[in-house]
Amino acid sequence: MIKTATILLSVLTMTAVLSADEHAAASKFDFKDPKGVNNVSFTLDAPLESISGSASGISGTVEFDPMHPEGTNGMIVVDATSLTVTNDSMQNHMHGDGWLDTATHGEITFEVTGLSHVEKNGMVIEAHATGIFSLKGVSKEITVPVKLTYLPGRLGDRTNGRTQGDLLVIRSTFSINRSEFGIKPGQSLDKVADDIELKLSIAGASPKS
Amino acid sequence: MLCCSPILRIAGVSTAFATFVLWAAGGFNTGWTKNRIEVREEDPITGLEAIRYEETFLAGLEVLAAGVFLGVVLFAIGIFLGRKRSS
Repeated sequence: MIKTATILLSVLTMTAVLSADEHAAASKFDFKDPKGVNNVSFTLDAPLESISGSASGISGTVEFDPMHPEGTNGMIVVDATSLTVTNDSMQNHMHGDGWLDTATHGEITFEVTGLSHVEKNGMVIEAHATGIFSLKGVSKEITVPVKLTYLPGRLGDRTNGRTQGDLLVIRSTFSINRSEFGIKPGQSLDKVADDIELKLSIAGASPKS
Repeated sequence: MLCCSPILRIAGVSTAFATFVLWAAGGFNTGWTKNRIEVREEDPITGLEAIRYEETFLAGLEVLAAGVFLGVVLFAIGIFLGRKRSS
């Protein structure tokens, strides 16, 4: 009886240690970039008009373990008011309540729940990220291709040595349909395409103390 | 009024030409007029391209069309007034 209890206790202890070790290996990367490099660009290619622009107001955190990338999770937040196009009039329309209504829906989010189809090639990981994409108050589960580049110890190069740590670069190109998010479905399709191509180019930092 | 016909024709041609030059100087922009342009700069550490905007004016196709249309109208009025004077 005592022997069984001892074995059980050992197994529980080992499980706890392994679990703690697994958690310790995962790092949290902050995507609020003081250098202002992070961006999401978008393109809508309609028969009569092509609209393109970008957003730079990126924030959010992602938990990433280079040994177990499939467990990657977190949330990327885009400040909708930072969406910019090259024409003032078009920009006012885009932010207005008829289209994105950024005064009411100030954030566009993608909450990543995990990665699948993971292919590792050194520090570069290609996978499919699944998560909840929210735009203008509508949330949908989507799966998108992502390319993660893990740059251990490179944060210092970006901060002139002030802060040491790791960098995680995430790139992804995918499309959504504006009609699925309640943005004037079926309207003005000749000038504003239903299909919106999004290109995510972001880098997160994980400082080490 | 009739004496204005050569001036109107010259003004028409000048307007159309000036608009074309303005449009061409902006790099033959085939889209709408732009108030700002995208400038991309690569971050050497991450390889990502930072996108910044510079305030500038780039005439679009609608400016070209409006300028050429105005030029043609002025030129046509000039010809019309010239013919009226000669008859």
